Amino acid sequence: MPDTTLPATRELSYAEAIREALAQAMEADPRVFTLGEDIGVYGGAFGVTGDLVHRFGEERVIDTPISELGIAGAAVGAAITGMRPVLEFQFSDFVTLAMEQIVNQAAKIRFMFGGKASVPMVVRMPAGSGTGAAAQHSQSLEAWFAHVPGLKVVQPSTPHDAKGLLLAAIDDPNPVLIFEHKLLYKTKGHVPAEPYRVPIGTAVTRRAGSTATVVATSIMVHRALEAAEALAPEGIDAEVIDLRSLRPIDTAAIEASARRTGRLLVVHEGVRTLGIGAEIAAHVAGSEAFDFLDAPIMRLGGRDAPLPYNPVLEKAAVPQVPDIVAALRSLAAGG
Amino acid sequence: MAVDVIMPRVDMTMERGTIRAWKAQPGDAVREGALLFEIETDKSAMEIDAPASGTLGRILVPAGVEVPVGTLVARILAAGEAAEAGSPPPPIAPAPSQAAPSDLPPALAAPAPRVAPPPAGDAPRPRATPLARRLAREHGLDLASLRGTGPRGRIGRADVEAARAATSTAPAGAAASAAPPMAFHSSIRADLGALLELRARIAAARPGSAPPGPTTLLLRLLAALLPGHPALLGATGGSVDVAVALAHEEGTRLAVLAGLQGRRAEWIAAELARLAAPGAAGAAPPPPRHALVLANVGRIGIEGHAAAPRRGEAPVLAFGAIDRDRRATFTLAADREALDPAEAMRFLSRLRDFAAAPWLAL
Repeated sequence: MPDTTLPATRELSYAEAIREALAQAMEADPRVFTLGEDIGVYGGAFGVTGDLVHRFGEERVIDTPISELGIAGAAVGAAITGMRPVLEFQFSDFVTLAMEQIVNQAAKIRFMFGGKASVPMVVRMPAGSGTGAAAQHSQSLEAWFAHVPGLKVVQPSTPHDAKGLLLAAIDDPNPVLIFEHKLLYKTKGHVPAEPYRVPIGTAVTRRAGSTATVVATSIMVHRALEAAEALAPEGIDAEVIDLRSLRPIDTAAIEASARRTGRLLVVHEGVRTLGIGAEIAAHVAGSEAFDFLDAPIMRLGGRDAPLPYNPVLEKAAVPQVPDIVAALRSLAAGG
Repeated sequence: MAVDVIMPRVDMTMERGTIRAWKAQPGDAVREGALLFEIETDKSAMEIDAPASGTLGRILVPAGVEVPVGTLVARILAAGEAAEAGSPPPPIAPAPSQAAPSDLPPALAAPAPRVAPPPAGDAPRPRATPLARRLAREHGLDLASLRGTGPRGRIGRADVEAARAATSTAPAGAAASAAPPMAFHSSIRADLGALLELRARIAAARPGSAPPGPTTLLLRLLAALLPGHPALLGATGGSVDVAVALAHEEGTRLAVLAGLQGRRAEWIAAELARLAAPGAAGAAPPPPRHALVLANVGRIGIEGHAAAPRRGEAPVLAFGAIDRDRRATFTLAADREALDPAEAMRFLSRLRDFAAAPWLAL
């Protein structure tokens, strides 16, 4: 295995970090296998699985027919009978075909059987816009699943977290959905060589600041950080929290930061209306942090429209750095 | 203990019911399980048994009156209990759309006000952020008297702080509403870098045990500092007795650490933990006299707090939040009768020096 000869921390891409986590999990545990469309010899639509089929064989890196409901059903069944399946949907949009297995079966079985069965399965999904793939291949549907008790939902924003959250998800005795952002697959970052876990349900502060708190998810973490750096010379010192996990949600981290800064902006790519930002805003408004708010809570999210194919409109449909800059300026001025 | 008798729900769809007849009168002895009254719903009639044995108290819903399910209709009193014992029953509101029958007892006559009605003819509620409201409340400022500089004239934290700065520099008369006339306060910024470094070194030297917290370290400094300020120790006869304000859900209580002089940080930390433990409040009444009240308001992020001790109360030292430059504001508030402002300033100045160079406390 070449990994062991590398230094402890190397630069890996987000896609490579996910592949390394899959390989390490399969090396460590014969119950772990992965299945999905074109993940074998083709190496995955976004190249995530790469050479895994050559390293672990077709029994553990299974190319499936184009049948999302069938893939999910096979994974739920395998998980109930003691395996640790990691399934990939080629685009997260296709999860709509598998809703029955994920929402009605995977999320409920533990409860329907009084804890005597559980579904330790992981669903990996490329999500988000920015690739010119139009309305049916560009959505951010994570909030749908975060609404379902019995599911865990995470959104890694860095190669480090992509590996650590995937390993934590595989360990988890219950179903975990991972929304990976397509634009992040080629981004690079430091990734420890040894296996490690990022605990599900913990947010992380990516930038400390005192003027306002920005809670961001996935690629919006990077856009929020860029906006924060752009505003620093103006004396607007934003704190950026990477939520990482939508369910369970790290409300303590959000509350503590909002209490300190008194201003809160939530930024996500999923549609703003009835989105995760609404949940966070409502939570903070109803928490002890309310008494520390010095401006109305702001939200940025996707527009109320299917993602356009036109690249200019596609960009305009979801928050970009200038949108976050403008929102933070407004928030700093009282909202 | 009186037992409530309510209009029961006798079928799944029942929303309201009418008492057809009472089978006992106030003052009668009733037995649990025996018939107490009959009801009528839109579907059926039912006999209802007494839920407890005792004496039937006042009947709150007479026969013939329709009330919602769950309405208190009477009470059964325990032996020796007077009819008026316990809290008076809440008034019952008939459904607002229905006219109340004219023979309703007084308890039924007026709907229960659930929300205080807005004061008629008053000025509109000032537009202010939650933080501004809280700060104004804490500092005794009237929001209506403040000018908001935020969007749509909203009052924010900056506006409250500007108003506070204005009142504390204004002539005594202008600040009269904010604090008792004889109270004053002084503030100082202190560099806590060395103190926090000391804490880090203690932590490194004793891995596995929690290092002393900021309150403990500050008390340790006060133990060394206060004996040099006899003016502050008059109330305790020279003993360094310091009260710590402990925040609780119900409010704040004072825990007094008596005889701090010469105490080590470990003793202080243990004593603090003991006094802060739930139930410690009732165990032993704190000594009535203390030299100083220490309030670690920075624990919840407050930067500075000017308390307003009343005549005869000990001075209050507020320890503000430690900022990113490892500085914090100390605010001493006292009654001028009890402490000379010049002495308060000397004390704060030495406190700052001790905090910046904690080895002076040795």
